[in-house]
Amino acid sequence: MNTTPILFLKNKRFWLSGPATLAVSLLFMLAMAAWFPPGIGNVNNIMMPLYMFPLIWAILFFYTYLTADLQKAQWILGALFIANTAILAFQFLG
Amino acid sequence: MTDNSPSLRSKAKALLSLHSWSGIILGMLLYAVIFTGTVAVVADEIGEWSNSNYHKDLLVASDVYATVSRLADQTPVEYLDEISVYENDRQQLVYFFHTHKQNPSGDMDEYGVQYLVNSQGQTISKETGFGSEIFAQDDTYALSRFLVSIHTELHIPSPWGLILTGILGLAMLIASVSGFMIHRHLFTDMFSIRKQRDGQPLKRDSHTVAGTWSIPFAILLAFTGSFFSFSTAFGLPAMGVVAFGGDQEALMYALVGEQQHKSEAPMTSANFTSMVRDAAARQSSVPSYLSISHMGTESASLLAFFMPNEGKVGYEQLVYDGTNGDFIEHKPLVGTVPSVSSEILSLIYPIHFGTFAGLMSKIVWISLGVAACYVTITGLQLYAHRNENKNQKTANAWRWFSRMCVWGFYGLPLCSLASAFGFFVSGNMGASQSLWTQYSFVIAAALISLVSLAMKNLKQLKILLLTGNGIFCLILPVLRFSSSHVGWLEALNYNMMDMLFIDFALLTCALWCFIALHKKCQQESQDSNVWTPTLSDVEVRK
Repeated sequence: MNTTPILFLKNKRFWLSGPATLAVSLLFMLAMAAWFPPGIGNVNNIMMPLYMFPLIWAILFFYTYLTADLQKAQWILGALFIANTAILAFQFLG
Repeated sequence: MTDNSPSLRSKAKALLSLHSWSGIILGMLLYAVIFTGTVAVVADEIGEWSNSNYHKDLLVASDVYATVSRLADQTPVEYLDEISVYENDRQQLVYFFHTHKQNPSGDMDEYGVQYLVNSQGQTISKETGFGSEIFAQDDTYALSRFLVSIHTELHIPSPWGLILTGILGLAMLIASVSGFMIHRHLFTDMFSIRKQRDGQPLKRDSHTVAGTWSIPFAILLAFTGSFFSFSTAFGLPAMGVVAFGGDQEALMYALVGEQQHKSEAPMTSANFTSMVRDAAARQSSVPSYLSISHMGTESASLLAFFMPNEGKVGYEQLVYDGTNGDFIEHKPLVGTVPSVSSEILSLIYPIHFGTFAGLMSKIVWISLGVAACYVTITGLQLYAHRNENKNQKTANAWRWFSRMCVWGFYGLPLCSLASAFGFFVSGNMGASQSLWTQYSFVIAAALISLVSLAMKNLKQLKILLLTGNGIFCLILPVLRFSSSHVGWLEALNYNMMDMLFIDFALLTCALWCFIALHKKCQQESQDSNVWTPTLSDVEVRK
């Protein structure tokens, strides 16, 4: 591991595991409020995304950090980003 | 994370790197949150101890209905929306008549009149304002509130403090999960302190053993902690935007499980005292607080909240019809009917706070918290020591890092003890305990920082700070006694277990400090001094 402070900014893995994972996890959490079944109590779609946010983030983080296939990880994050953005767009505009 | 070719490195190496860097970058703040979290587990006990209090069960013993009716006559009608009632740590009942409105920070808050009523039923104070402001100035909880606030927000303004502690929770998740994944021999590592080892190798073994034992605890706490921080900071309002189109009031009504518009038609309320006693009989316990809604209308209701009782894990909420006194339901923590969300939430609270088996579970949680603190400390020390020896160019920077570790690890407990010292001294002098608890912490932090910069020998600095911790741990039970004149015999007489527990915990810590001090002094006399940089050295070089 190279410890030069600026070099890590040029690394694709840093951007995927850091900001991209965080952004996708947040979008995933927000979009869940739209598609997750609210249940009889009418609160599951509000609370479950909040419970699952650290879990979603941790799964995506460890996957993007450990995977050998960065290209695939990039596509998966991209797909999740687009799908969740579409769900949110439909929720607000549709 | 700068290696572009992961195929060339083993995953274990990458995980070890992740484990180290997550600790190094956020380790000191993580230690602050874990240490204060360990203290926060006994926040209620600290509240009782700092006031030498025992609960008189006034919610059941006194006539709540008569007092509420009397106070309602003196209170503007708009504040009768909701009435919170609880017994504070000074044997007084707090009645807060309030409505809900935005506070100057823009957050929804409670606003109304708070009365303090003593055990004889006399009103001893009346205050009007926002709930958050009244609570922040309440000297009763000054010490426990201050310590808990370091844990939850590091005293950084909202929402940034919560976001930071949420990020620290995620960092703890990374460190513990990566720590778990790099263990190839998890079960043998639980007991693998080798006899022939000493110094750094012994420290490495101790780090592994303490880390292995606390991994499940750390993962649970990191997960639940980041949930609390993120959901409070932005999660819930964001959910309100998506699910309710930004109607935060509708969101709150859905979560609290109430109808948004209730009938305000006048109707005499039934006897709340009977309802409270019925709830206490059903739960074989005394409620922690009551919430009376829409008193004097046909929508009147009473909610009695109970901490986990013997044999139960979660909190209980019993709801009564305020118009006829009938028991309605065991209300879930969120929503109107039991759901997966309310079940999970009722597990998250006791898991995070360690309240699921009374004082016993809290002792286990404290022990695991101490283990987690030890893992953070030894992890940072090991990394600093390794780099001091590895690279001569950066050795100086790593020695500063070691000095910072000593400053933080020994300094934070000392500052916390100093804040308790300030609490008692200001109480004895009749000054504001809320202010002096904070000031004492800041003054102690400034003094410790100066000493840490000025003292050349790192081992002597450790000895000094350890001595300070030991002395304060010894002094505080004496100070508590001098401020309340409640001794251990009287405490045993009144079954004041919380107060006794904190007194003995402090004396045990004092004993531990002096044993550690004795060992360090012995070691000091054997070892030769190692040079570490100080502020004066930097100035001389300049």
